[in-house]
Amino acid sequence: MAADYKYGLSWKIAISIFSFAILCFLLIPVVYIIVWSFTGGSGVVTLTNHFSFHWFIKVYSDESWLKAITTSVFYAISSTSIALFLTLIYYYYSLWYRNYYQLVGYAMIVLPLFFPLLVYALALKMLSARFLIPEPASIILGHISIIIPIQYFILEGSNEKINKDWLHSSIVMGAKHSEIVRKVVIPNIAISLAIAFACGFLYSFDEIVISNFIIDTGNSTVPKKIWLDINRDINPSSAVVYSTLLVSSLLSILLINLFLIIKSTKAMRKVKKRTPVIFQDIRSTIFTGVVLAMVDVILEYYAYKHIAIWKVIISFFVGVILYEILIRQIILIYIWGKEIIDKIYVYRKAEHSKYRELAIGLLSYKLDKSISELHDFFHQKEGVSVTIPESEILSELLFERNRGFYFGTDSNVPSKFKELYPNYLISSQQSKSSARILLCDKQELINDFTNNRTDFMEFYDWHIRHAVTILTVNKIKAYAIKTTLQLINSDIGIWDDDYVVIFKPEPPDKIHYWFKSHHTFEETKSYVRFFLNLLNEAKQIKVVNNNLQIESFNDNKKAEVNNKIKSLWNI
Amino acid sequence: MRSVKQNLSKSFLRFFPILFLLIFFVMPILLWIFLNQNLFSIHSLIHPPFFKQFWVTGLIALITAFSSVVLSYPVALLWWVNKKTKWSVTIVFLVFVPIILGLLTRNYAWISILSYTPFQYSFEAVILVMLYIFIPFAFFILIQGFGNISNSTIEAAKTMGANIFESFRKVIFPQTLRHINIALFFVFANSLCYYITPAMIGGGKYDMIGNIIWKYVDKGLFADASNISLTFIFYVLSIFTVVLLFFFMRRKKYLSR
Repeated sequence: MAADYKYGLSWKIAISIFSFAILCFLLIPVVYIIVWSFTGGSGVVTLTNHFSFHWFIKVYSDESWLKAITTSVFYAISSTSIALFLTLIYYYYSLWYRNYYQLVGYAMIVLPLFFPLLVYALALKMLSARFLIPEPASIILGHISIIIPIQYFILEGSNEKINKDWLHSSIVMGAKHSEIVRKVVIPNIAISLAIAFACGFLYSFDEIVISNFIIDTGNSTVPKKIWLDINRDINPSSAVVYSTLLVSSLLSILLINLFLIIKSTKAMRKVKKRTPVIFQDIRSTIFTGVVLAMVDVILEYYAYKHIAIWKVIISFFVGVILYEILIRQIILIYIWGKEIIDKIYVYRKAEHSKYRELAIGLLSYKLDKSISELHDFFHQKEGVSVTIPESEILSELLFERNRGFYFGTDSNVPSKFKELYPNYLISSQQSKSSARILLCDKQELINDFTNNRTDFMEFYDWHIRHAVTILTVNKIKAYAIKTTLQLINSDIGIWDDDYVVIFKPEPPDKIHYWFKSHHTFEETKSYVRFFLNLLNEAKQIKVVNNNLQIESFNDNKKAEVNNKIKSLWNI
Repeated sequence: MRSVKQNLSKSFLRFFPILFLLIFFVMPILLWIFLNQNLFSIHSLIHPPFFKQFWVTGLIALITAFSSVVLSYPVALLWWVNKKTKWSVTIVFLVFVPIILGLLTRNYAWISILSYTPFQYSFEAVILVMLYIFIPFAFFILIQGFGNISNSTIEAAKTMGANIFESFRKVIFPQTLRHINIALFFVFANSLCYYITPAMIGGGKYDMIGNIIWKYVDKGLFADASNISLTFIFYVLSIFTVVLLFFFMRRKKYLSR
């Protein structure tokens, strides 16, 4: 192992030495340019022994240089801004559209990078002369075409920062594309956008080929001016301009960093203000400390028949720290999780605009995280208990995440469903050939179909629309299976291999228990086994020509569902 | 509640970037070819004018492409090894700094530095400065490839008993192959039409095809410039079509993974 480590280390040293040499190779001219701008002589590329700002003063008081710099900055800012706007549009839509849009778009984006720029510049020059396109417009259009690919590849690198679930959830919640770009995409790729802008700016500022071909008038850009000066005079003026550009770039990076630090500090303060982390509940803190100190007193007395005060004091402080660091944090997470569920619920019920932004951001990912955190901290085995409305939202969210496989049981007749879960049947969800088993007697179903036809059909249509097969099992048989497996409830829902929910729809508690998956949990697995057993007994409910038909469930389909669940749950 | 499909179908804005490039990049080239088609002849294809410059261009571009990828690969590897540390940021910054300092100014600096060596205005000097210009670009393309490799893969290879060279050969290198190809092609394509460095560093002795085109444009002889460009572009596009097709096939394969 030691030899292996040594081997790896020597390999790292070799790479480092080689890279150091390459970096030196890259940086020597940089150092030379900076030194040249301060100590350069006129006429030829030579250095003198006199350090001065002579060339800086000369360049920044020379009207032709100032004009060239202004022109270059104008072209750079205009072309970079337009290019970034177009790149962002393509980047955003390429997250949605695959196939042809991405293929054609990618081909168009790649082309300017690999097509000989010289030939493009020549074509642009000849066409702008033929169609009398103004010089600035030709340059800006040419620059944009080249900058778009550079910026796109920078943005493409930040693909992993965008979770596609957020985009889907935002659309489902009714957000417009402009809103998603503004509130979801831009905040997440802000740094990449800044880098893309900087790279576009630098490219356009330094671009020589297109400028060289197009510019005929006196409005030279900086590179064009340097190029024209090659045969006349080589002096440090160009070094002065680019040294200034280097210093301004470094200053910009510094300022952006400073801005980010201030922003994050402010945000941290806000968070701290909202939920003071320590000593918020001083009574509970002291109580925990006292309990631990008393435990220490008892243990010491029984063990040594002597009580050391310093040990008691230490126990007290250990209790205080334990409460503040561990217990309090768990409570905070719990409160935070509940808060999210409440706020999203308010949004769903009232469509209140105030909560829209929050809901977009928190959807799916964060809610899932909060559930799993709650689960990890509190109910290692029991899961999380949530109210029925919350349960409805959770199930809807799971469908929206397009995981899609849902298998559930219900001991209510179809018409009761609307009354119990008012939001469920009006929601639109994405599911993949799921199944729901109703634990009802045949006569019960026929009566419900005859007496509450509208509600029954609403239930039936929703399931057909969402590719959920409706099955039924005799109540007595179902309860027998439940008793054999020693389960507490027969109404359950299974989402993929992620969650098992146990419904307790009867008042007064109106509470559901949610389990996070974990294949190791025998408890959740036994519910999955329960469903599989029911599936063997199940018959399919169909409405044909306004008649209710209960017929045997297709064997192939049964096997399909059976295999799917077994593979998901490793049963 | 609007469905995703309904919402997307209204977004015509999505075609803007593609249309822009189609109108302002592809159309000018096609129109230029169309307007100058009478200049194009089979004779100039078989016996291209400036035959020597064609070869010099190809040779310089090939040497530059291979060397810049070979030289920047270890730097990119070092960047990957130090990923998520301040060293990776430092490496990126140090490679990026020369780009800020301008192409022409860097060429000036090299004229001066090379004047202290016997390589001034030589073929080697042109290659050296071309490498200097393209190494940063190759590096930035390569780190895109390295960025996708998880550090855990090398750990996994180690636990399977692979030594450091085997891990590199069988785990890291294959995963960066796609970006090596892209970097090679990018540097090759861009150095083909390069004329700044050969003009400044080569002292006019090692002119590439770009220098000839530029000389004609500078004198206002656009018809001659177009004539050479058309022959040049015919050869270049034939090679590029094959290479791009290869890339698209690879990308399709890559996306379908």
